[in-house]
Amino acid sequence: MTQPHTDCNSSEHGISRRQMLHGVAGAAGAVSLGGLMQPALADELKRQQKQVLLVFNDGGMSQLESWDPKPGTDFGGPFRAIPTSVPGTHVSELMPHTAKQMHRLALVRGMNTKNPSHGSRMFAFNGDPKNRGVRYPDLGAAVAKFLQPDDATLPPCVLVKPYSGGFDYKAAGFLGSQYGTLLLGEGKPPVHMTRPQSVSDTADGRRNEFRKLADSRFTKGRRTAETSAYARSFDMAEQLVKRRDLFDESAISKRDAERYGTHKHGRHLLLGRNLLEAGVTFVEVRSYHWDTHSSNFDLHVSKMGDFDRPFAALIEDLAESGRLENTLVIVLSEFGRTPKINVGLGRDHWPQAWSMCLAGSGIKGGSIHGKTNAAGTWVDDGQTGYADLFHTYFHALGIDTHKTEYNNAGQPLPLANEDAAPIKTVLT
Amino acid sequence: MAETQPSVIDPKNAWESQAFKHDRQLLGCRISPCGKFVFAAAADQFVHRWNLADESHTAIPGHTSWVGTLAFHPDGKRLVTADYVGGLRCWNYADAAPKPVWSVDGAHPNAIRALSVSSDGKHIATAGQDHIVRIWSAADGKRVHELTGHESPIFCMAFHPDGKNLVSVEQHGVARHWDITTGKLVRTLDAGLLFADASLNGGARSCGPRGLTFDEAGNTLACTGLTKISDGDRRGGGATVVLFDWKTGKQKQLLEAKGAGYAERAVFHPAGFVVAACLTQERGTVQFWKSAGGDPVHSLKASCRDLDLHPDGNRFAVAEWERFGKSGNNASTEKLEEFQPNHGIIRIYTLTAKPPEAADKKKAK
Repeated sequence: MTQPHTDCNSSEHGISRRQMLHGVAGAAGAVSLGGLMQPALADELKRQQKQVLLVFNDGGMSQLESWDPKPGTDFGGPFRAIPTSVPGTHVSELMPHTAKQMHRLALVRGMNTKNPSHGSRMFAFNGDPKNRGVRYPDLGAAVAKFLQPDDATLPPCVLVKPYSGGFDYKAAGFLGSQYGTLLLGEGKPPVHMTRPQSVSDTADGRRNEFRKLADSRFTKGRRTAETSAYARSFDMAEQLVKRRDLFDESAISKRDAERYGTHKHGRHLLLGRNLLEAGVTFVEVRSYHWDTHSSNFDLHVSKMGDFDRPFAALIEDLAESGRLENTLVIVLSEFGRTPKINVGLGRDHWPQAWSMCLAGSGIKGGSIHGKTNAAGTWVDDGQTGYADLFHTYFHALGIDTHKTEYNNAGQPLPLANEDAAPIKTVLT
Repeated sequence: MAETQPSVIDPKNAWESQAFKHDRQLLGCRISPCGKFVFAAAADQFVHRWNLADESHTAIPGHTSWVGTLAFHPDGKRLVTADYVGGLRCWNYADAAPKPVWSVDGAHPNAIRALSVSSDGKHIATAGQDHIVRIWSAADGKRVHELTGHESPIFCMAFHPDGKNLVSVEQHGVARHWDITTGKLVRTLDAGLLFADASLNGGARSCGPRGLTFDEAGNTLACTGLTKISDGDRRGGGATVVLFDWKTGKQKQLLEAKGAGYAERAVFHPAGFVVAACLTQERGTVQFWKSAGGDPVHSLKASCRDLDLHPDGNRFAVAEWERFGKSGNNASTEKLEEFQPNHGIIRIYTLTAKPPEAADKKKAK
């Protein structure tokens, strides 16, 4: 995916429904469509209607100001650790609302991903597979391939984010562009969602009939993969047009407004919840500028303030609706931040010892995997990499990564790096 | 003050006359009204005091987290300090081993990041992470008012010299002017140009306004920070002091530093210039402007986070950082011994020409 970052200029551009479809059609011709070796398993998984929510805090959230506080130590910073709903488990005082949901969350405190570059986020998204000469699908496309019901009409993968929107077909890798990601920039729907008033229902129906007729003629004698991706994407866009209510801020209840806040990240998390409720298989909510090389503490007061309450509200809502049981929730960055506090009172990139969070489907609430040393500088126990996380995600969703593999046009490929393994501590 | 007021004060004369090292980074500094001490807040749980005459150091315990902010009472005897976990303390600062005269634990539920004492000595204002301003009796630490309405953390605040009006500025750049005799909001001032979020739709943000100071007459309010941010932290943008006309509440001048970074704090020198501590990620400067505006007339290289004027007008203190061991991405992965906290240093600068005996003394060292 294109990744705007504090040091990078975004290459994303505003994109219309027409442009989105153009992108899909172009991509479908560029890659071969992947499949699964075990169609029966895929059918069963789709029947279960499981979903995934990824909350990606881009730039690197500080583990010391969130999941793994070390108060009173040389590098612990000024904030306290607070108790959570799980006896004996403490998190930073900057997340008081999340602390109350800890019995529903699992923490991985032994992250060691070695790579200090922001570019390592690609491994956060694709699970660090070995180089096999193909573009591996990102997590959203991978789980959509397994989980999206055949009768789904909404896009399989939606990314709610700041900046501009668009369509990222590359994220689907060899699975094909129909599993690409729809980017909702600023949490807004794709542009041109509203039909011009001059086009009546009747006229709209007639032009769609005409389009389908043209599509039908076009598909004769052509590759199914290309045409089905094109048609499916158009249907998704059409369904989104019908679900304008998902983007109607005036419909936000007073209770939701209070708990999710009026700030951007809170509203994006709320939209993420609504998209899950609407049936989108994979939703990512991304926030930027966690790259606190300076003023780490003041900025984490602010950033964690935007994250904590709406995230806790989202977990609470998913649990109350019963949806959490079938929704895997992942909170992740590309790495953590240095224990050493730099001269600008910032923290730099630290992939050697950091934390992430899981919840929901297949996850043992209140569990913790891995442990850092007293100063928070190194992992003492339970080292975990991106590939281990991918095995864990799949297993949490009921997909055994040792028994299932991709079929990329006849080429068998593992779902996740075979040198890694699921984290059993956090799995039910 | 034992020393005679020098005849020619000029920023271009500034030279380092004293330095006090500390093994933790410094967060702020203030010179006592008596002129005998410099106090500092650091990334530890102490208030630090250095005697300018004999250069002795006292680490004063009593806080349970970093001391984020400190201010003197106008009686010239008391110092007020506040920490990152909501603790507020009042000290007789010149005692041999100061103990709190009074203290309030949980003055706020979390970090106090701004503190100011009214010029009439009656009130103390605190604010920070919880978006709330609280007014306390300076006599006994009892709460007088609670002022609500801010919608983001408050990192700076200042009483007007009349002692009755207070300004608090939140991260998002909204400055609120309060009448503390009634606890009512009088008006808001717009310091939004010091907060980046409004100008970038991606959520890039600065910490917003960092420092707030009135001139002695109370006619001008200096608000410091960062403008023109180009990325998510301070590596882009430029250190800026925004001068507000207090009567109209409107911005009247921008003092822009040379180089990127935050202006952390600015003070008005009675000789007619403005001095600001400007910090970037890797370096910093002390910048001087004429009060009338224009480009900086002078700058000093100084890795500074804060500064304060000596009451003699001839000196100022700068709280600086000193690098210790390696920093940076992935730093210190090989050599554990390099994984040590950075250090701090207080430097005292003198604004009159360096006397020959000082040069000789330094040479002798």
